Amino acid sequence: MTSITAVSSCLPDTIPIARFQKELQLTDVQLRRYQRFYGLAEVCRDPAATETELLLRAATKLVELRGQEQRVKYVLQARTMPAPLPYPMTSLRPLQVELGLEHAAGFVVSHHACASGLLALDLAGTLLAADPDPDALALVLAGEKAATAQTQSIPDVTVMGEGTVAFLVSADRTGSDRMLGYATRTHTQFGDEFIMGDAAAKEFQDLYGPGLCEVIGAALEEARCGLDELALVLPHNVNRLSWIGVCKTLGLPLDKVFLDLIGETGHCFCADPFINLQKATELGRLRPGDRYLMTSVGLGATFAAMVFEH
Amino acid sequence: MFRATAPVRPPAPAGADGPSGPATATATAVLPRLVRAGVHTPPGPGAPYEPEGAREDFYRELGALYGAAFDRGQFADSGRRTSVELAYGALDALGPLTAEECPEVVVVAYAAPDFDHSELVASCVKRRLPGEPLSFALSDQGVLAPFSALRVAVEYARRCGWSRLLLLVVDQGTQPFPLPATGPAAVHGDAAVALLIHWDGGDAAPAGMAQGRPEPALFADWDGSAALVAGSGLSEGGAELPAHDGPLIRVAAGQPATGGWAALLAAADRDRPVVVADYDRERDFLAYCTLDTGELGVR
Repeated sequence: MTSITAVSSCLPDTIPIARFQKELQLTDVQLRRYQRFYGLAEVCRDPAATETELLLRAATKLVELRGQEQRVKYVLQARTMPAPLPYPMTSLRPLQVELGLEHAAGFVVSHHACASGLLALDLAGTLLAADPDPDALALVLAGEKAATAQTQSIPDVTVMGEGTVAFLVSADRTGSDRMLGYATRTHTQFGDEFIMGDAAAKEFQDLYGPGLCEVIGAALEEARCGLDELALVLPHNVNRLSWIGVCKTLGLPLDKVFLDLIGETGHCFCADPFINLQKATELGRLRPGDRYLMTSVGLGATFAAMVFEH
Repeated sequence: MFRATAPVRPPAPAGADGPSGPATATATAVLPRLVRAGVHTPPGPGAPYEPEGAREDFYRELGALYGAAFDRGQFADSGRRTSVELAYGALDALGPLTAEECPEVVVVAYAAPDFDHSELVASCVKRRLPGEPLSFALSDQGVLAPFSALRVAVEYARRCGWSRLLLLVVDQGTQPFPLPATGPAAVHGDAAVALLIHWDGGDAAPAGMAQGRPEPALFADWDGSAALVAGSGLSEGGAELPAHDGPLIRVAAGQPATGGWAALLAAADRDRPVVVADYDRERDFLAYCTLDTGELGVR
């Protein structure tokens, strides 16, 4: 059974989104809406750091990796952007060298956009369950740069942050966070509108609530878990307002959604739910036996949900 | 929708003392079957280039952090056929698929990414197919990416009880930043290969596949009597294959992702399996996989 055995994150220093007002082409009214209703006060960014450096910072904080390097058979990078580095550069190769993981098979998992993190976890579990070595591990990395005008934000939805995460995955059910159920659906009408025009944005907005609720329901069914059994939801940190609507539809109390970091991280691509897991665990928000839900939505457009037991 | 419980390691066989896990390949020896294939290699440059300010700004901003400058001349002289167009060409060459033939999992594999950052190949390809396959992409592993993609597709099939897989391999010859002219990362033109593969093994372990450092243990499942497609990485030296007495095709450099898989079609053999192998010198990693191609209908 797939489980997360350890997780670490790196959150660069925060910068008020007001500082990006001109770059994001926000009017004063829009900026106030982002701050007051979306809950997006600041985002974490390090403009001088590369993707590789940001991922390495998260991975080097993963103390549970030390001494276990030879058990790591797979290094997976979950990625939102289709091509964030000039070819043939890649973050994985230098990361594997730096971390002593050159013996592992390393590749990027993508095209579910920001939902690729949950896919990478499921994929890692699939490979590990088939691996001859029952002690084999996978290292999954996520988080990206908000380095261009088009990748700094999703207009009228969120502002991107550069937080990164690293976590170890095992097929051993004794891991601290066991995956119980997963559901994902890609709505292909958005496949060639990764950067959405106005019409696609409107259609996506209409789909957002029903699409997210659909995969949440399916993941809960797979996990044989009721909504009311969830202790916590670890969401994608796009904005606070969207969760008010989704919670209303689901009948889920808003205080069960871990929204603590939205105001200081922004939306950190594939890394959000795992950054939230690290933080919620650190804050003692999850107790042994608690069941919780991770969610992600990727442009393009993929909706995903995953249920765990802590 | 793809929905599942967590994958579970199979229990150890009755009476076995060893740990849980898949049965050994030698006990079950199941090969994936390549049943249909399509290749698309559009020649020459694309339509006259009309600069798009937003696109060029994106490239400049993206490259700045990494010291890479947008190369407009190279870009304008390239095919500028998006990876979605290339993938669609391979799908057209594969021919129409009925709902019964539709793959249950689609993995897009590439070395060089699409220059168009507003499209997702895996999502667009899924739109062209009947059914509701799980579809995603795998990359940043050079010549090895298609091998990992096939392994992942087979493992999802084993886990989920599926039998139909589509491996879609793309070489994108248009890049906004200077491309290496030689070496393993060089891409000389556009190509896409679509491989429809059947997995009849149920939950048995796949045979004839491995990836890792080129040490003797890696070749435990190597079939020396199979036809062999030796990818471009092997022709540059650095790794030696075990003894081999089947027919051999060597692949030239310039198509890092598709080269070996396009050549696979020429090597298809009714009487013996085909091994595709390649080597990544930088990673010092070798990958191979064995396919039954006896019923291949190439279009």
